[in-house]
Amino acid sequence: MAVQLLGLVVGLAAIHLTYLYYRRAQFTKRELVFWLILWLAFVFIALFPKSVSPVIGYLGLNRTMDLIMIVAFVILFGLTFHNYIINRQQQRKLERLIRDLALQQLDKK
Amino acid sequence: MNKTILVIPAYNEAERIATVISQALALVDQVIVIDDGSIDETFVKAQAAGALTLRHRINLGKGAALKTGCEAARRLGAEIIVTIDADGQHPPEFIPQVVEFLKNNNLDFVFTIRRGGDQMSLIRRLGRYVLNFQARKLFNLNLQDMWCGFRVFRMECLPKIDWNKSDYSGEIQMALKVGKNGLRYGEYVIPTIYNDNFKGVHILHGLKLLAQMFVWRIIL
Repeated sequence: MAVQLLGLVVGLAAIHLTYLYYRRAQFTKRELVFWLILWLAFVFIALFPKSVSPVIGYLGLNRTMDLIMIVAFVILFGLTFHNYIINRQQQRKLERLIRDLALQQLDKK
Repeated sequence: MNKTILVIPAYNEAERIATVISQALALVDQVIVIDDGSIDETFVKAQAAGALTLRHRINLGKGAALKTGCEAARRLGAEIIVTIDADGQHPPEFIPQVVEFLKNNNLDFVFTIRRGGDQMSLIRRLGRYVLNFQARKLFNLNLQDMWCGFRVFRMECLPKIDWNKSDYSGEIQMALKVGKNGLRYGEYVIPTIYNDNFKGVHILHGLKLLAQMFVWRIIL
């Protein structure tokens, strides 16, 4: 029960922050929908752990916590990869900008 | 007479850059210095010494500085590009000889081999050996000193040796593409003075590079 309560509090706090970021125009509508679905699913599973029993049985797992851990790892790996791609893109853009600025000096000379 | 432009990537080399430029000015048609975001007076000193000096506002790395320098040389109509390090370890008086070596042997690219190995630290000598061995096995590139920054090549080779790494490994990528694309290359021995054993690449760069070379074997 305590774990369920903790899950509910964390989930609701995350939903609040998601909405706050959207209102501050830091999230687009698409990002708002994505994160709301994710956190609502988190809250739902926290309140009704038995609801995922068919999925747990299908995957050959024993506990709801196992499923949560696996899903969390998949999400973490996905986000790490996404961050890596974004980071590389930013690096390349920055490098191109700095090099273009240097070459502009050539045109002035 | 081929237009020869010298490209010098420089990072915090205020102490030696002016000497290198003054020695090289009479030997090439133009000297371009890329100040790669130095925090000392490299830019001012290079400009005062008579080089065309361009500046990266932040430090990007030697590979990026070389890329900017080569692009500038291309825009200025260079037919032959020479690259040397800014720390004075490569004697500029050898530039005409290496350029002649390129022309006389109808080569696309000339690497230089640093002599004076007794001044080079043991770990660097070992790293150089391992790197050359791997390049020979993976890229059929038979070089004795792949990491030496004193190089001479024809402008028309530039698209074939284009590199995307902005750090030291950009130079290695450039060399590996020479082997991969079957360009005609040669080697020329030069004396070397090691002014600073703490600058340049260290063992982690070398290890990372060894791993990267396997990936490049597939994607380059």
